[in-house]
Amino acid sequence: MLFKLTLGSVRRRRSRLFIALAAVTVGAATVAALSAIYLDLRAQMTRELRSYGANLIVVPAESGSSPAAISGQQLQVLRSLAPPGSLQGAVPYLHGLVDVSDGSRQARTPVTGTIFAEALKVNPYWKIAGRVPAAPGEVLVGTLVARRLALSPGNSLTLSPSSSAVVDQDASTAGGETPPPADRGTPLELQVSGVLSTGGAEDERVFLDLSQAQTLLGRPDQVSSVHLSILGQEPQLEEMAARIQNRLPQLVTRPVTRVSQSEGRVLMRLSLLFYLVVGIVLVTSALGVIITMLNMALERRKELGLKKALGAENRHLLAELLGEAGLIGLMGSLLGIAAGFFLARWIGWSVFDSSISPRPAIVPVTILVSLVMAGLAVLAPIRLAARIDPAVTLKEE
Amino acid sequence: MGLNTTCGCLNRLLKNEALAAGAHWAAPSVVLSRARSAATSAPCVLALRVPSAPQRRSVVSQQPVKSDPLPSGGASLVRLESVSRCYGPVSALAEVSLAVAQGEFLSIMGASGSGKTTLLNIIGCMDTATEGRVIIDGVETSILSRKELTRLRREKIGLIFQQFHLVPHLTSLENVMLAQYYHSLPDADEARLALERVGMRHRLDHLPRQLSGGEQQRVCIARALINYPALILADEPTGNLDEVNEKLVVDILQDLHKDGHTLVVVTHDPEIGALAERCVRLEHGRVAAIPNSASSRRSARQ
Repeated sequence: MLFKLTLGSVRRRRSRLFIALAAVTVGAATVAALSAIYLDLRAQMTRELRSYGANLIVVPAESGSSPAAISGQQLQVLRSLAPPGSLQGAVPYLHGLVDVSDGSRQARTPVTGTIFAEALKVNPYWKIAGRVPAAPGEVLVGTLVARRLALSPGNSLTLSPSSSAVVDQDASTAGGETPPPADRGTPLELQVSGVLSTGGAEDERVFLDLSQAQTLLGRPDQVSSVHLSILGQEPQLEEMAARIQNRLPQLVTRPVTRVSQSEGRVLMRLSLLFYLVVGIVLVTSALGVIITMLNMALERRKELGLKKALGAENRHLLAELLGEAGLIGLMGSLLGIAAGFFLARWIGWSVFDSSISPRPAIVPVTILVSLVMAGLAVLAPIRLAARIDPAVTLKEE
Repeated sequence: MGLNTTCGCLNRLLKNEALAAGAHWAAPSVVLSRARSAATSAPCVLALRVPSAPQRRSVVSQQPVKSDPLPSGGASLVRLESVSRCYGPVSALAEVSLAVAQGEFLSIMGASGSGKTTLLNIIGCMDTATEGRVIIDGVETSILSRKELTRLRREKIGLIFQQFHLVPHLTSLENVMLAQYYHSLPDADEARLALERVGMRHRLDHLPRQLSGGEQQRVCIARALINYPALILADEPTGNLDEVNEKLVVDILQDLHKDGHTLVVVTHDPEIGALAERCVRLEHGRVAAIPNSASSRRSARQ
């Protein structure tokens, strides 16, 4: 009978209950969607924040007279040391100074040999006018170099080994400068495929294929530094640095704390934002449900009074009101979970450009939150029902 | 009555009595009979001879209540002794003493504001007296808590309202079953039978808004009777009805009386007042007259 009473009451007062149901659904959908996003948030955001660039730089330790460099074998070891799935990119750089000429003008310019595919993974912020070099005969020129030598995509240029010292950019920040090797390469005739603009030191460089740079600079199988982009915050970076130090003691690791700390801050703020939004939506939804349920109870004063006159005790009315609230909470939560799933997917695609996977753990949490919300909403009606005097209520017109 | 329904009725009665015994009374002996109306089309109701008051022992009042001699000579089912009810400075009832015998049909008449409904609410355990004693079926109500009053009302009293007061989102059948649910256990067959007996067989699944006033009142009567109450209280039962439906409801009330039910009816209608064995007139919260049966009928008709 209680079920029939509850179901009948809900079914035959659809318009009123629709508002309460809508409020619970909105709350449940928000909880479900934001929980799904939040659970994926750390991974998603960490991945997104990797666009800031490398967060771990590896350079050779200073070794007195011999030119400090990282070998190709060490590069392979570095790549293997990262935990599976955490390495977003490992880009090797070989820096040097060359003479650049376009036939009429010549300028001494720093060059960097790299693997373009890796470089773009680690530095997705690179803005290239033209296209990324697709073949070893193509180079990217920094926007300042292009302006100085009046270069644009499609132009040719010649890179000749410079007699000056090779400046190792990463090593130089620590005060290092490597002398030029004895066996320099022959000049290379290359084509500009794109003009690079980053707003940083890259704008003053020419980027070419790593193997060509090694040949040109006479440093086969050597790189000056390796920039790693690893998923994780400071603790994960420190762990990786320790692992490298342990395995390759001849190398020095430098976590880019500025990046990792800002990542941590961003994630923390996003977490706070999540709790705040969920809290506000839940409070708003709860208020909606409370007001609707109270209105319904006020409208039903006579009905509640009649039930008391017929012999209903407060526990009967409590069971009926809780039953109604439970039904609304359950229906709202199920609708909300479905809506939240689609909302999460939509947010995932539109904001993170990736899908948010449904998580079963969200279902009981959302149902519980919805039931608690509906339970809170029914407190005032229960109080009202307990105070109803049937003799007075039935007399009211 | 089918065997199942008979058993259902007996079970309900025994459960009713067992519940009552647990709370207030010793287990009484119960006799169930059913009267069938001579006219097949006329509504017929269950007849319940409830045990007389001396057979029951009140555990709440501690002291056995003695029955005063009644005009009809029977044992009193309801007894009011110097009952007053004040709402702040306003006195709704003053020093009302009254007894209603088992099986009696009593009408209460009076002008608006004379205290009729207040008196009915006090007898129906929906209100309590400010002063005086109210004894319903041997139980003094003035010392009962609200919960105990609710239980007493549920188990002993059937209410018929002027405005019917049916739950709008429940069907006729469900409205009757609602009273069963609060009393003990809902029984659809029994509720259906009760509605059939007030001529509502064709309206079982209709919502109150789909029923005429007379039909709603008949559902209200079926609901009042479904738990076999010792006392039926009706507040202006024909006040909102047309002549045809009034006649139907009056017939039902008469049948109830013939079947031995105790009826207390508040009414403005002299015709209904005249049907009662006794008519009590209230004036400004006081009993103006409690005439004997014959004179009360004459009084009511005037």
